[in-house]
Amino acid sequence: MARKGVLLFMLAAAVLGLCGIANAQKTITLGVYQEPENLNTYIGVQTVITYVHKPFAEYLIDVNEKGEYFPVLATEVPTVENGGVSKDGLTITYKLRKGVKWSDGAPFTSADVKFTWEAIVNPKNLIKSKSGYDLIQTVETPDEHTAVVKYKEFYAPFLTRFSPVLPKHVLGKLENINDAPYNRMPVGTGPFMVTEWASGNYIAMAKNPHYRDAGKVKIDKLFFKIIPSREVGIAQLQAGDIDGVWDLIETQIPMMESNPALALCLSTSLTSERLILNHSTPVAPNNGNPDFPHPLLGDLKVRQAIDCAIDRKAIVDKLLFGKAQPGASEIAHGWAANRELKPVAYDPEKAKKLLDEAGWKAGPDGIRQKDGKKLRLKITTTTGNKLREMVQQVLVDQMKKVGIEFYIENVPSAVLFGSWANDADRKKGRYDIMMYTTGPGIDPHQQFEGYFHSKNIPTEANGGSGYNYTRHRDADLDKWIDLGGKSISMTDRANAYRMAQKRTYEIVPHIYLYQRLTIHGFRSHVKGWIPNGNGIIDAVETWNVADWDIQK
Amino acid sequence: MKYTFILRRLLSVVPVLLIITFATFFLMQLLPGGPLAAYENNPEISQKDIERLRHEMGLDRPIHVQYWSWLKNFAQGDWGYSFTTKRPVLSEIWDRLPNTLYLTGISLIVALIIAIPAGIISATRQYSVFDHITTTLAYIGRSMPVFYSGLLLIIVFSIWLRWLPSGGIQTLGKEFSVIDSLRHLFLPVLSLSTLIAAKYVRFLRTSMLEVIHLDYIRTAAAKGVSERVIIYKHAFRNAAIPLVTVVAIDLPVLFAGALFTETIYSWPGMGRLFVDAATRFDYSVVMGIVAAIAFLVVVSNLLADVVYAILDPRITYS
Amino acid sequence: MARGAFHEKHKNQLWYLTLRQFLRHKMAVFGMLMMAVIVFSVVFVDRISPYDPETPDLSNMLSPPSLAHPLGTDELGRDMLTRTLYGGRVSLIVGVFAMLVAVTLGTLIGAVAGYFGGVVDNLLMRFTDFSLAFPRIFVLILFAIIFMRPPFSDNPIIVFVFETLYRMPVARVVFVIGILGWMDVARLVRSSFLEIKTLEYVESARVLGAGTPRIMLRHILPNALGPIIVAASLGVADAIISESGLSFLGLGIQPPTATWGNMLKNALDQIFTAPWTAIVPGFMIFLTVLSINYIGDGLRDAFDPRKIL
Repeated sequence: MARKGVLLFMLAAAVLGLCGIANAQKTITLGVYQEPENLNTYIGVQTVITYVHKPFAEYLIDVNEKGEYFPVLATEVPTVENGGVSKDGLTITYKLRKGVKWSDGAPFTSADVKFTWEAIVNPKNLIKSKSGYDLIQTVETPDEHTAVVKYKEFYAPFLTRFSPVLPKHVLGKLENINDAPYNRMPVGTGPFMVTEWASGNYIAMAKNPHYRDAGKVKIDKLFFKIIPSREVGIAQLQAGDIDGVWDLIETQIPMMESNPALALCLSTSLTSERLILNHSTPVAPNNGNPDFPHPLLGDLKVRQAIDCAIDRKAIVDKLLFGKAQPGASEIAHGWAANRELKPVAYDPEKAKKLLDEAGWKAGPDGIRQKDGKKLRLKITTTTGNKLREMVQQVLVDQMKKVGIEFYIENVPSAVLFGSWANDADRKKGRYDIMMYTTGPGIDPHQQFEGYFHSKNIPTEANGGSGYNYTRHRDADLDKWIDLGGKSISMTDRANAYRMAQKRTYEIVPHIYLYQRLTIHGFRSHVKGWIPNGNGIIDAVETWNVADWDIQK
Repeated sequence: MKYTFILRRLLSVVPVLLIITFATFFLMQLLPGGPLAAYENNPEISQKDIERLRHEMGLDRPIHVQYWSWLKNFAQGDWGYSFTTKRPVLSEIWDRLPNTLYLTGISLIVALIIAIPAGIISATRQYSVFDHITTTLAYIGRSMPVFYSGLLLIIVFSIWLRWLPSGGIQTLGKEFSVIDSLRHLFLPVLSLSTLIAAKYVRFLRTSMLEVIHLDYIRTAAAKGVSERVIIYKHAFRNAAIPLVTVVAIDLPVLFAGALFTETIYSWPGMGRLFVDAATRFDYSVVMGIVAAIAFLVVVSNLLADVVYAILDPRITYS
Repeated sequence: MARGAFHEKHKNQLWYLTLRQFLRHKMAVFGMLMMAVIVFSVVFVDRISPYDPETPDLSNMLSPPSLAHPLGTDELGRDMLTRTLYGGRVSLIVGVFAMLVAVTLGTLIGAVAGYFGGVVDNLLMRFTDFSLAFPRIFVLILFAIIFMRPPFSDNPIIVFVFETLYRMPVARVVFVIGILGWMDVARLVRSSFLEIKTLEYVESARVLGAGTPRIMLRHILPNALGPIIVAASLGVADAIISESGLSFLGLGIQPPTATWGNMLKNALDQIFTAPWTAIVPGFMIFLTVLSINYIGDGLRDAFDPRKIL
C-alpha cells in the first residue's frame, strides 16, 4: 500500500515536472488583422509583411528608435569618412559580419548580397520596386565578407538598400522567385525562423538555433495570429488570448490605458495625416491640368484660410487623446527636419479676414459666396476608417464657423488610390480635397520628388506616373528638391530638404493635420520592446524582437 | 426510373455552372480598383513597374480571352492563383473549407437537437405555455441580427465573465485538446445554432400541425394507437420530409450565415475568406468561392430532390 | 370590440373581416403599436429633440446616459437618442424603398410567369429557384462593392447607372438590396396568377376582348394582393437586416449619415467603455424587425380565407 503511494507520488511529481518543463517554454502571440500575402518584402506590398518578417529577416543596415542608422549584417555603416563610400558617392563598400548563418545552417556570405541585387533586377521576378537597384552597375565580392556595390549614378538613399538580404543557396537555382517556397517558408539569419503557416489562422515561428546570439534570445516561440479586425484584436488582448496587437488606432487608446494589464507602445512615425488640395480645376475636360487653376483652391489666401481655421489641438486632444503631434511640415523628426517650422496656429478670425480679402463674402446661409458661387468643397478619404470619419466631421464643423462648407464623399481605398488606367479621381485631378496619410521613409528623397516636384504631375503623356496630385508648380521648390537628390554630403542634403519644407510652408500644397503615431498594444508581462517610429521600409515594433521577454 | 431522373438532374448541372462562372467573371470585371490598387499608393513603385506587373499578371488581355483561359484551367482543377498571396485559389479555399464545415456542421446538429423536440412539443401541445414561449423565442431568434447576438455573447462571456475565449479555433502554442476546442467552439455555435433553430422550430411546428390534422392520424388515434407512436412514427416522419428538404436546400445558406459569425469570432473559414478577398479585390479567390458555392447550391438542390424522392412514397417518376 | 351598428353594417365586407382577423392577433397589434411609436418618433425627432445629429460636441464624448442625454452620447459627443432616431429614418426608408423595388420586380416576374405559363414560366421559375438558393449575403456584398465605383466606360447607360449609384449611397443600398429580394414575391405572385387566371371571370374578360395587360392589371392583380402585402411587410424586415449587415461590414451607408447598422459598427471600438453606443442601435434593429415580423404574421392570418370564414 505504502509502496503504491510512493509510486503514485513519484508519478505525479514526474508529470508535474514535465508540465513544468513544458510550460517553461516562453511563447508570445501577436495579433495581426491582415494576413500577409507572403513573407517576401520584395514581392508583397503590405506593411504587415514588414512587421512579420523582422524576426527572421535581417538587413545590412537598419535604423534604431532615435532615427540613427546602425549596422546589422554589415559591421559598420559605410560613410565617406570611414572609406565605405567613395568620394563621388558611386562605390559603396560593405564589410560583412563574420560567423553569421542562415537558419538552415548555411553560411551567410557576400554572394548572398550579390544575389539579392541580381534577383531584384531580374525581369522574370515580379518585384514591386527596383528603385535604386536598377542604378547599380555591379556588385563585386572580393572575398566572402566584403561586398562592393558600384552605382551608375548617385543614388541618395543607398543606405536603405539590401533590406533584407536574400539567401542565394535557397533561391539561386530557381527560374523565378515569384512562387518560391521561400515566400511562405522563408530562411533568414534573424533570431527566429518560420516553422508553420496555417492559412487564415496563424504563422508560427521558433527560436533560430543558428542565430549568432541565440543564447541571448529569451522567447522560444512566436505566433502571429490572424484576427479579422482591430476590434477583435483588442477583445482578445483584453481576454488574454493574445499578448500583443499590431497597428491599433488612436480611438482605442483610452480602452487600453484604463486597463492595468495592458501596455501601450507609442512612437511618432514619420508619416502624417494631411489634406491634399487640388490646385487645378476638378471639372472636365481640363481636370488635373495645372494651367487651369481651381476656382476656389487656386487662390493661396483660401488655402491659408483653411489652414488657420483648423483647430489642430482640439483634434489631437479629443480625437487622438493628446497622443499625436499637430503637423507642421513633411519631415517631423530626424536628420532632415526643419525645427523652425511650427504648426499653423488656430485663428478663425484670421481665416475670415483672408477670405474677405479674397473676395468671399458671407451668404444668407452663412456660407461664403463670390460671383454667385458658393465656397463649397468636397473632402474625400477612405471608407471604413473611423478616425478619419470623425476628423472629417469635426473639420466640417470647424469650417462652417468661418463660412466654408465642406461636404463628405468617401470612397474605398482601392478606388481612392487607383491607377491612371482605372480612371482614379486622384490621378486625374478630379477632386477638391483629399485626406490621407503619407510620409517620407527614413530617406526623404523619394517622397519629396514624387509629391512636390513639378515634373511629377501625372498626365496622359507620362502615363499617369508621379504623385504630384496637387498639380502645383514652383521653381524654388523644384530647385531645393533637385539639390537634395544630387548632393553627396548628408549636411548639404539636410539643408536642401529644410529649405524645401520652408517653401511648402509658404505655398501650402498640403495642409498637415497631425503626425501619425504607430500604436501597438501589449499585455504588461511582455517586456523588452522599444517604440520605434523609424524603419527602413516601415516602422515596426518587432524590430528588436530578439530582446523581448515575458515576466509575470 | 428514379435513376434516369437523377442522371438527368446531374447533366443539367453543367450548363448552369457555365452560366454561373461567366456571369461571375463578368461581374468581377466591374469591381473597382483591381488587384494592383495596393501598389499604386506606394512611392517605391513607379508607373513602369505597375505596367510591367499588369502585363505579367495577364490583366491587359481582352476579357473573353481572359475568361476562356480561366475556364480551361478551371476544368482541369487549376482555379488560378490568388492575386495577393500568389497561392493557388483551390488551396486557399481548401484550407478553410473544413473549418467552415466544422462550424456549420456542429451548429446545424445542435440546431436540430434544439428544434426538433421543441417543434414537436410545440405542435402537439399547441397554445400551451411551452408553445407560447417557444414561439416567442423563435420570433426573437428570427429578428435578431447574427452580428449583434455574436457581439453580445462575446461581451458577456469573454470580457465580463471571462469564462470563454473570444475567438479562434484553438489556443495557439498549446497542444491539441478536446476541451480547448470545445471552449472555442461554444460561443460561435451558440450564436449560430440558436438562429438556425429559431427558423426550423417554426417550420417544423407548422409542418407538424398540418400533418396532425390529416385523416390518417385521426384514424390511428381512433384505432387506439398510443400517442407517442402517433407522434413519432406517423406524424413526425411525414412532417420531417419537408424539413429534410429545407435543410438540404439550406446548406449553402448556412455557409453564408456563418460569414458574420466567422468574422466576429476570428474563425478561419470560407466566409471570412470571402469578405477579406472581396475587400482586397482579389478576383481569383472571389470567383473561386462563388463557383464553389454555386456548385454547392446545385448539389444540395439535387440532394434535396433525391432525398425527397426516396423518402416520400407518394412520389413516383416517369 | 364595438359590436352593434358598425358591425352590422359592414359584417360581410372583406376589408372589415380582414381587419377584425388582424386585430385578433395580439402580437400583431403589439407590433403595430410599436411601429407606430417608432415611426412617429423618427418622423418628428426634429421637433422633439433640441440636438443636431451631426454636429460634434467634443466636450461631451462618450458620456453615459444622464438627464441631459437619456441614452448617452456617442464618440463625437452627439446625443444617442437623437442620432438613433435620425438613423431610424434612413434605416426605415432604405427598408421600405428596397422592399418596393423588390416587390415591383417580383410582381412583374411572377405575373409574367404565372400568366403565360409554359416555357416562359419554366425558365423564370428555374432562375428564381436558383437565385433563392444562392446565399444572399455573398451576392449582396459583391453587388455592394461593384457599385461603389465611378463609371468605367463611356456608354451612356453605364455612366448614368453607375454615376447615380456611386454618388448616392442610399440609392445604391436600396438598389442592391432591392434587386436581390424579388424572389419570394415572384413565387407568390406566380402561384396567385396561376390560380386566378383559370377562374371564370378572367375567361369572360378575355372573351369580351380585354387585352393581356389589362387583364393582368385590372382583373388578376387586385385579387392577388393579399400574399403580396404579407411578403412586402416581411420584405421590409429583411431589408432592414440586410442594410445593417452591409453597413456593419462598412459596405452600406457611410458616415456622417447615421443608420443603425453603421452606428453599431462605430460602437465596436468602444464596446467596453461605452456599451450603450452598441446596445441602443442593435436593439432598435431587433425591435423594429420583431415588430414587423409580428405584423407580417398578423397580416398573413388576416388574409387567410380559412381563418376569416
